[in-house]
Amino acid sequence: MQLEEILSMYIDKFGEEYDIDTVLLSDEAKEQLSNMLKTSIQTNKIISLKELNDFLGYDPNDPEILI
Amino acid sequence: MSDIVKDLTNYRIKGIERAEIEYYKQLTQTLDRIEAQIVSLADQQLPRQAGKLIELQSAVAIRPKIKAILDKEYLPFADRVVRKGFGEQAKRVERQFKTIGLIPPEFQELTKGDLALVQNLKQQYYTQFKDVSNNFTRILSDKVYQNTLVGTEFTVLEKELRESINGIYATSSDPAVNRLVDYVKNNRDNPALASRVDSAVKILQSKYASTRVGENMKRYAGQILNDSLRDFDATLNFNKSKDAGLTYVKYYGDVIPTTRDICRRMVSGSLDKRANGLFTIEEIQDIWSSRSWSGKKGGNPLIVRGGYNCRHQFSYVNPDWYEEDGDETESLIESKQDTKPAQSIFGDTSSEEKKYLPLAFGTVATNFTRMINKVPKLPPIQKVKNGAYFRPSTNEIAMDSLDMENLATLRTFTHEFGHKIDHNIATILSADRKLAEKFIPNANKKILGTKLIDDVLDTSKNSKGLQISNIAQQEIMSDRKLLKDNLKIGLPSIENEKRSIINKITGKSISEKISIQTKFVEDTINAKNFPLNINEVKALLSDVGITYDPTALTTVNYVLQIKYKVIASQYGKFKKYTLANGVSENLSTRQYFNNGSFLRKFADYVGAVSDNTIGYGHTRTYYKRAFRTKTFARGYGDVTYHHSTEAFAQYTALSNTKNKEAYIKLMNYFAPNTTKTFDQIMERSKLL
Repeated sequence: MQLEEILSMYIDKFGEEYDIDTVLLSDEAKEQLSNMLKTSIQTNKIISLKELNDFLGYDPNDPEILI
Repeated sequence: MSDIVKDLTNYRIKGIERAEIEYYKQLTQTLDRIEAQIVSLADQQLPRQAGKLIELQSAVAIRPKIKAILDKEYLPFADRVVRKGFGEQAKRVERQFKTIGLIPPEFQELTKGDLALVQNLKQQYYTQFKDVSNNFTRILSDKVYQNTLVGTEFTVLEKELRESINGIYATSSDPAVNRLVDYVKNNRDNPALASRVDSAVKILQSKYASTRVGENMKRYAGQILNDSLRDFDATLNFNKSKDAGLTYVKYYGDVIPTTRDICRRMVSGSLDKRANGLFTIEEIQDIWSSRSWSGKKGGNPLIVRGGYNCRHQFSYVNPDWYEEDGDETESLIESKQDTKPAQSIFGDTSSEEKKYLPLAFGTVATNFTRMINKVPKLPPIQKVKNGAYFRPSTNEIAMDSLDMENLATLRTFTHEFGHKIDHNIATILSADRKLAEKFIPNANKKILGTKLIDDVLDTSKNSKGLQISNIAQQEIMSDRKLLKDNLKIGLPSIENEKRSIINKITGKSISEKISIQTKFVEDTINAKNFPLNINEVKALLSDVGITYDPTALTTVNYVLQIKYKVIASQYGKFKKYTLANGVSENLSTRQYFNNGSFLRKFADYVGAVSDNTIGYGHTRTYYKRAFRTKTFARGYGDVTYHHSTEAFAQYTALSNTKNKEAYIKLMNYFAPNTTKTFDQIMERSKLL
């Protein structure tokens, strides 16, 4: 299943505000994020901002950056 | 006394040799990856019984997967050779003509005609590389099929596959063989170890492979690599010299033990017709046509020279440059110009930019390089775990990888650099109102109670956040309206077309089905309004790892999605549509995620324009949290700073990297107003 398909299910479940920018992820990173999303959907637990920061190595919500 | 023409010819020859070493190393790595992946694919996909291959169906099904591996690994290598390798050699040829100052100025630089020739040669040699890929897709697939047909052991097939790719350098289960292979690979280009390398090759050929494995991909691709760089240099040099009216030649290059007799005699002077060692072109043609030798190639001798693997080159001269005894005349000595390269087309750049900008933006001046020339140096690139970003306040780019041989990484760098251009040029304009008035198309047009120029240069929101991409705010909105409104027609139209084709093939034989579907897809592509030709469709599908196959749903969907301007979006809601057959059906853009993939950076370009009504990549939350431009429309939302800068960054990435011609057509088709305005902005680079 493509990452965005899983992402669609994720935002259906938790809301559009929890969508994640995926545009510049490498294939390996997409695979990793897909697994994080699947686990999150199964366990009914939103991916926290800390988890996302750890995964990316920066804060994706930093208003000073363009992703 | 130093001979200027000889020095410059050696400079060209050394440039070729350095490129050959670099690209041969890359070829070796590429083929090693291909070997590993194909063996692993065969191991996973081919069922066995007691170690023997048993299922023909799987043997047939593996072919497109073999092709996909070769397309993914080998074609980017071929692209690099012709794009970067040829581009750099063209600059060396140009430098030779500039350095010999006696050539008329109009013939010193690469002219439009030269650039067209370079482009054609790139295409021609890329096709040769591609032919090897197609040929070996067939050879490898045939090996799988034939071995399965007779039920041989998998280990036999594995050996054949490895040897078909890498010949005697294939990975083996014998550590002694692997040691020798590694030794040859690591020292092949070290002249000090040449005799030891030869001995290792002989041992590999004689002791470990009872017969030399001749038909292998490494041999053919290596041959093309070797000859293409040299033939390219010779062709461009021949063409430029012809234009400049130079009809005499000198022959240059080293003499080594394997040098052919013809080359040895040409270099040593034993075939000289006159004391100064010059030949006319006709004399060379006579010498070549009256002799034969091993490895001689047909064609123009000035281009094919000694033949396969020939390391010699001609240089074109004017007899007035030489005294009768061959010494250079004063006029040639005095004419010699500074051989330092002209200032970079990118201006003053950091060491990282020096490495990466030519890969991202090419080596010939364009509107993009003209803008880059005006922006400040890039600070050191920051490292992040995954993804990438640009920080306007510090001008920093952060990336998860700097492996620019990886096309996705190169495109990401180009995207981030697009943000840098967007912001840095806006800063230049904000400091010079008069320049900004000239630079911004329709700068004074009214836009919600203000002028376009005032909104673009509005520093009250964030002085570090100014963007030239905001110039296109109204065009982004007009494209957004078109794309959103179109969806109501596009979604059911795709489904109607698919149902119509299903009706046509129902009850037909397999060959009739294939023929009907192929015709349907080809007719769609060949229709007047379709933006791409069939080769471009194939190339763009290959870009996302899909093999063009008119009988496959992915290809049908891809073509129809282009025709009807529909791209998947995770925000698509299912809605009921009545189809042509009267049946109601729930349809959404979501259903296209798995059945027709666009390159993510293209999907994001359209997503940024349409606020993800179609397309994907950045989130709506990301777009929403940015400053708003003055452009808003009820039912279509705002155009924010993030919409415009992300569209511009993807426009930059898609306009400069692989398959750019096709992506430019596609951007113009999906978002014509935005793309045209970005083109106009880039054209203004000449005003800076």
